[in-house]
Amino acid sequence: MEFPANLRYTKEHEWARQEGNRIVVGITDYAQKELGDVVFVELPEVGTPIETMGTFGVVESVKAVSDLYAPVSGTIVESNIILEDQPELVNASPYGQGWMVVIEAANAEEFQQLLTAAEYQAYVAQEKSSR
Amino acid sequence: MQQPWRFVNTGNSEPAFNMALDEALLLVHEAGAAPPTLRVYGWCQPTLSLGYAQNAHQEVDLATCQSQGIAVVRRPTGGRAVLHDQEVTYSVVMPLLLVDGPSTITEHYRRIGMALAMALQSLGVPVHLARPQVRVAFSRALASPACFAALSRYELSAAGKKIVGSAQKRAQRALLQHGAIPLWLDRQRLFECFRVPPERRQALVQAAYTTMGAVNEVAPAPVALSAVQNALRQSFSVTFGVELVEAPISPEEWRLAQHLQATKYATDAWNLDGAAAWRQRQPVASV
Repeated sequence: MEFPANLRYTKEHEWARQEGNRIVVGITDYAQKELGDVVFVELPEVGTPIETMGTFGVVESVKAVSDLYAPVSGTIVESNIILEDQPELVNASPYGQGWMVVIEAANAEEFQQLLTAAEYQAYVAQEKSSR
Repeated sequence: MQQPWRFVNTGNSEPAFNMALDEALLLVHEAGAAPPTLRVYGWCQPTLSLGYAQNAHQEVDLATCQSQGIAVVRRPTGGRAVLHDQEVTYSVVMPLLLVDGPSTITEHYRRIGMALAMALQSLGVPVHLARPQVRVAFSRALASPACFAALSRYELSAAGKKIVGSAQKRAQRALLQHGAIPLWLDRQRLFECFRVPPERRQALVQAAYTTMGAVNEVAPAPVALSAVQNALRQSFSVTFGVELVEAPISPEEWRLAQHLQATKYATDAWNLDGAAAWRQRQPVASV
């Protein structure tokens, strides 16, 4: 299972990559493995305003429909519409071709508050273990 | 002992209200204003429920459904179509965080599956949980439009036939899983709901005799609806180690359910045109 060190993460299993003021967002390798085969992705239109931890879309797999949560606030400036026809890219390439949206961040500091790879990896280990 | 769960039997209701109440229970629990809940319910008319992303216009024969008195409603959960008729319907709303085990999707399915299996086994129904390594190849183009046609991980089967069809919606801190436990199954009627060529329809009906089952087709003695409902209450209590206390739906939950019924689950935009079309027609960001 991959946890790229250059990304930040949420407890809701999204990843975020900073490119200047733009934040690229997708779901993690762990999330796609947990969900199983993704069969449908619903993403927002460009221009949609989004709040931190607000839902920005939906992913449906053979197991469940899950809401997608925005790691940072801002405005949707790109939506990966290829996923409408090829939702399986989320499974095949969660950190690459399976990216979901790009958010023009309203507040650059929000990105720095997200989990680091090590913190997220520890969180996943905790979630998978008995409490 | 953990916080008690609520048990509620809401009886037969309109299709739109049934889905609205399930979503309302999820949202209010997610907000921390309601306990985990096991709800059992029924339908005031036969209803075809569609998965979140199913294409109603392409897959469903709406004219036949209407002439047969079958309502059509879209679920908040995924998966494929279910014809609700002569069945026990259950819904579970619970936290994603399990205090006594892993908090993964697989574990949630396994635990709820165990409870469902225990309930039916207590009534003499010889059910099994599908093994986790069973992987069902999924292709939207080739797959049957019916939920009961395919067995997924930790779903229940009896004599090799799927006997409970379940679907899940996961929010930030809580999940909703609801499902159908048919007491009897009318396979012909089910596939008349779909837009498929007549020869394919007959093939689907025939295949359904080997893939789909119903409780009273495999039970050693007739099983009544109320017996399944009571058995579920017992088995969820044992499986999750909690007391299930009978308690009503709160005024807040009723209000939210009625709002969701009027603005979402009773609209053609949601039920027929789909989630994206419905969302686009909302005046403001909505639940």
